[in-house]
Amino acid sequence: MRVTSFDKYQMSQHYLSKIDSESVRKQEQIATGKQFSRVSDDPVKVNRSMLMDVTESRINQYQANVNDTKSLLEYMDVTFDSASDALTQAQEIAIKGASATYSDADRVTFSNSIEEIIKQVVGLANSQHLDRYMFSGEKLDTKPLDYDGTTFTYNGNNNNMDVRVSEDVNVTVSESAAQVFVPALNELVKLRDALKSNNQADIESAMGGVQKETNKFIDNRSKIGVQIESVELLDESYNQVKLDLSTKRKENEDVDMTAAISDFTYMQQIYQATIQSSLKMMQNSILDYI
Amino acid sequence: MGLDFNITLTGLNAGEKMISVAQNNIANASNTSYARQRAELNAVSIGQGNSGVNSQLGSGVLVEQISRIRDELFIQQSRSESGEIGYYSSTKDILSNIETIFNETGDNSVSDLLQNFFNSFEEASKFPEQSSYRLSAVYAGKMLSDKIRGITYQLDEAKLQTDNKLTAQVTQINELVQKIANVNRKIGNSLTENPNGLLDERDKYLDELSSYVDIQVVNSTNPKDMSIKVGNATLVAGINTYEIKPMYVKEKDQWVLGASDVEFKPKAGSLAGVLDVRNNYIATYEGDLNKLVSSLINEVNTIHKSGFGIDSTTGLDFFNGSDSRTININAILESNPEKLALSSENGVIGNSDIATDIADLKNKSFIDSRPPLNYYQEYTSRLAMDLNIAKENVEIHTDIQKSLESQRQEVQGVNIDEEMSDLLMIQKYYQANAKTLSTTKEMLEQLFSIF
Repeated sequence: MRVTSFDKYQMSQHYLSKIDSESVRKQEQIATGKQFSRVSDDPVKVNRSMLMDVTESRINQYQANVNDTKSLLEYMDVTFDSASDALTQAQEIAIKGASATYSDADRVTFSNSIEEIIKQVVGLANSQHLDRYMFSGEKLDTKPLDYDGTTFTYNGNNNNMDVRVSEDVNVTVSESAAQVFVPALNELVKLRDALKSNNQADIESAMGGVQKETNKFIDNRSKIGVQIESVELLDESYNQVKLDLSTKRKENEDVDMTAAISDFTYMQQIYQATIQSSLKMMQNSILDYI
Repeated sequence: MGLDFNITLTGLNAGEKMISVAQNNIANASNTSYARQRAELNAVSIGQGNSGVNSQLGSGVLVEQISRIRDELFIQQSRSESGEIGYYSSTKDILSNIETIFNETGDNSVSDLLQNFFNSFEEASKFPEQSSYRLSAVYAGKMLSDKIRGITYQLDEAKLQTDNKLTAQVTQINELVQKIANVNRKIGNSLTENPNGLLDERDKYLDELSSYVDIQVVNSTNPKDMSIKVGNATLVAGINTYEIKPMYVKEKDQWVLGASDVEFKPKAGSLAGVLDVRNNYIATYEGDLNKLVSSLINEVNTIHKSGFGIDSTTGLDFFNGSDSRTININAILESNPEKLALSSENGVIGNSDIATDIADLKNKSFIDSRPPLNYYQEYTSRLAMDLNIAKENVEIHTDIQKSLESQRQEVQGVNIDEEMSDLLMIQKYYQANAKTLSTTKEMLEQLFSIF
């Protein structure tokens, strides 16, 4: 095979530049720690990374939703707690009022205390969290209950606000005061009136009504407690999924440092060897001898 | 005959010519388009009118011609590989530029902003009464529109640069074509059948030309009557040239090339690459992006128009504009975020059905039966694949061409050691002839000294 002088030089130049560009690529990988810096470096892998991105963003959004849900639910829980405390207090007053040890004048005092409790519970129903009324259904800017001394008017609506915490799970984060507070308040009004009128039978039946409503509040609280727990479990499972994703991501994107560095060193050695061998080749010429 | 100097003189002349050839070869050792030359020697027979032993004597040597040693097949193959390299490398350059415009692996890419847009509506659906969440939804829409418009303008820039590349390359091709025609004329005017230097020069221009377009060279018996064609169009016929004229067809936003009144489409070469990217690739990328943007505008506006703002405004568009060039958010919303329609019931501030519907568009398959994010990802993948293919092909064809060039040089290249040893041989040959001359001279002197 005939090899021309110029060709020898060209060939070694070609190989040297190939090794050079491969070395630069390896160097870039080592410096960034990533296997690719542009989509065209490895379209299939980058596509996989982008899909993981989308999943991660979706999970992050759900986790944000979960956090907001927890905060709203916890506020509702605290409110129900105070409400059931108030109702328990009302029950104690009712027991006192039903017993014969107290006088009629005492019962009038008791009915005033019940009135105070009523106003307290109305205040709880009209409470705000993060600047919104929690018990107006969807009408967040409208005060839920108006109290004129005898009746309660509900100004909210009957749709509830939901937060989506996963693909197919919505958690309700508001309530209608009409359904949650008004029945209990009506019983309290009955109790107050019964105490004022000193009617033993009425006091006892009103007491039963208040008892029922207190139990309902306890039920509501446990319902919310269950929801908070399940939402927390969801949060944990999201954390687990994110951990998995991040491991898979590292596998997909990260460079195996040891392999990259040893490849790079090997390439440098080849580079040196190529240079030296081509120099040797070019030095030999008949012109040295004639 | 015998004691004369003629035969030796032919030897000395041949020796001189051979040295010239060797000198020429060595001088052109680094010229890749040079075909090494050889002096072809032929024995001269004795003149007519001799018989017997005399007719068997020779008359010296003659340099018949100085021929170039080359292999046409290797040259053609090498040229066609050149064309492939030209095509893929110009494609790679432009697509690389376009990939940088999109910059999907960086921050604030279109897919990031698109996700952000849908997420901000999800956030607003939880707190529709808070104006900070509303504002953030409006601004997410603004950032997305701004980014898309920015990309569209940059794509326009890329198109302009590609146009410039196209016209610049056409100019260069026309210059080369003119040079070839000039060489053809000189070949026609030269007094020999094979003007080696001019043929080498023409080969060099043809090599260069084949990296721009895929040319077909048709040679004829008379070397000046060669023609160069691309597809059906002729560029050179003998000493006549036909310039390539590029024409821009505005309605289709495409370029068309013509020469000698015939339209042609080059299949290889960097001109073909630039043309393909400009006419096909960029058009597809723009069209697909437009599809995404116009569908998105449509879907979002349809939902938004049916919703109510806090102040009972309804029927407002969220996005103005209709495609990726004109997309923008409704300016009213920027200054009045309370008009952002998040509720499906008038006057009910906590109803966030509209917000949830817009957030749900993230998973709705409304573009080519795919959801928007998946569609966009496929779009960027396609661009990346095209670029990747171009890159790989450049490498593959460069390797192939290198080995073809090696083979071509094997035949036509100059090996300095070879030439040097030839020179030694010619030197000895010349010395031998000179010695013969002096021997003949001595013999003649002896003859003359008789008298």
